[in-house]
Amino acid sequence: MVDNALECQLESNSEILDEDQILVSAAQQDTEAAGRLFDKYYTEILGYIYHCTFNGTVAEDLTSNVFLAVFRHLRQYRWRQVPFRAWLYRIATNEVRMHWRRKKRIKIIGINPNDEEYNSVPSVVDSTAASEEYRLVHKALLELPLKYRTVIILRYFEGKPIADISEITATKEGTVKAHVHRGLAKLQDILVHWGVLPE
Amino acid sequence: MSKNIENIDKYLKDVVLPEYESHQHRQQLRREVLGKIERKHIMFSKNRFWKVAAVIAVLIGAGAIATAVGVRVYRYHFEGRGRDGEYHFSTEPEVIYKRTYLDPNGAEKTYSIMRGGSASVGAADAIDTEQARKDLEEIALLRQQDIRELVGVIDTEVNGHFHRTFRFKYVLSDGRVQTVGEGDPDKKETINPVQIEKDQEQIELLREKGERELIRVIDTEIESELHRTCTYKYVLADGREKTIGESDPELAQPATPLGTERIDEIWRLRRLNKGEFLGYEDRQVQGRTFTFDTYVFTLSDGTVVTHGVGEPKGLKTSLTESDWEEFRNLRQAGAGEDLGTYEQEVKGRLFVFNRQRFVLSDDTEIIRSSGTPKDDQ
Repeated sequence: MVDNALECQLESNSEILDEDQILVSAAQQDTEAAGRLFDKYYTEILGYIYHCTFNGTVAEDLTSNVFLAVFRHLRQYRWRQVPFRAWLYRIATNEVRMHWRRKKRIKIIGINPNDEEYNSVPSVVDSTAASEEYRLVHKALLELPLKYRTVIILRYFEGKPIADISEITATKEGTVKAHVHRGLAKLQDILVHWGVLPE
Repeated sequence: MSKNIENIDKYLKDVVLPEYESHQHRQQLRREVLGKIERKHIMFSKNRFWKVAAVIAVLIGAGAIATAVGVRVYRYHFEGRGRDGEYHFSTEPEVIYKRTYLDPNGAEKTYSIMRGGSASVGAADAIDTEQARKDLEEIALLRQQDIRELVGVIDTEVNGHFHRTFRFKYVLSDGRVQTVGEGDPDKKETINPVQIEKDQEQIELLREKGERELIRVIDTEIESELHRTCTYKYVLADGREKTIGESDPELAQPATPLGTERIDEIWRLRRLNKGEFLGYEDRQVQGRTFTFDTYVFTLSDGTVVTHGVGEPKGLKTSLTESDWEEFRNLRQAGAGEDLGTYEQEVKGRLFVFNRQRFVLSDDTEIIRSSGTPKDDQ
């Protein structure tokens, strides 16, 4: 499955890399270019974080943190280490990770015992059929360890190749493949147990 | 693929993903991010100002002109309340160009272009100054992106000299609307260092030829020393007007410069009407008579300063602070003579102007024309 997954949805990144490279260099000097860089990635990152959290308000907050951090550290960014898109996703992934940690702490303290992780605040799109289906998947994903959840979202919902996920999560490709595989197996078990998937 | 996870693989590939969009969040975050990065650029630029100037000079030499337009964050702070109760706010002035030169008297002078903002908020009752401050900062961001609507034009003719101000409507992020009076948005101070240098060369030639007009004199007496600043108007070859404060060539230079901090404090005290008004006095400056309105201020370090602003005696071309106060009182009393209405297109929108005539106690004639959009009527 993992090898096949590598073949699907792969995209050529050379063009994107070149364009990003120019844009990021310009954005380090010029506010207008920074605006274009923001416009290029805002929707993508907001979407990714929304798929991770399934909560519009939280997604907005975390997206704000991501972009403020990105532009604060743009001068420190070095192209050779990691492509810009991967760097952006890495920061977003870290923000999501921090979010879940904070949520976990809140649950332990018991400030709001009804605040289940998957009990998201309804957003504009929650009433659609697509959201209802995704709500179920997301609820199941929340049962997985974060490292499995992250790679599955990146692989299936953000369409990232294993190589990109490897750069985003700063782990070896082999490890990513293993995480995807184990995560899928666990997720399937959960959905089978819930009666969503046949045994 | 392992057979045991084929189902989940197919299932996940078929999941229809929900989408989430928030135009308001996008706009707010964009403004915040770009505001921060612009501020950072400016701070960075300060350290390598001359390098940048050199690079731009090379670019211009090669026939290329690079301009960068960005969004700047202005941080306002509340200064205090003025003479008619209005609330004054201002930003820290920022030096965007600075050059030291020897003036015609041989005195070392600094020519600088400062950027900053000040604003007054009129209110009959007490206002939340923190909210007003935030509003001003948001308005500053919207203004730079021209996210606003022109809703009024006010023309003021002082003894036949024309001044125009605009009223813009801003919709803030929380939906509140603020209407703000401002200068002409098309009239912007150049901040390109190369252009500033070129303008300076022209100004120096005009100064040598005496082709300038003394339009205002500011006398500041501090610790028994008179600091006189003469404001000259220079008209450049392309028609742009530059007003520059310089020392008086007919006076000896004071031993100690006033310093920016003291100058800022004096003008702040003047705005807030924190001084003792000594009255009007005529003084001869470079062969012309100027009428000075003089105040005494006590600075925060205890220094006493006598500060007078002199306008050319005779028919005024602009209004002093006390003139504006008298003018406001006349308007509130409905003392204007109605001169009828007319229509005029301003910046692509048709306005209907109501024209009124006022006369101040010193015979200054003011014609005020207030324009509102015709499509609103």
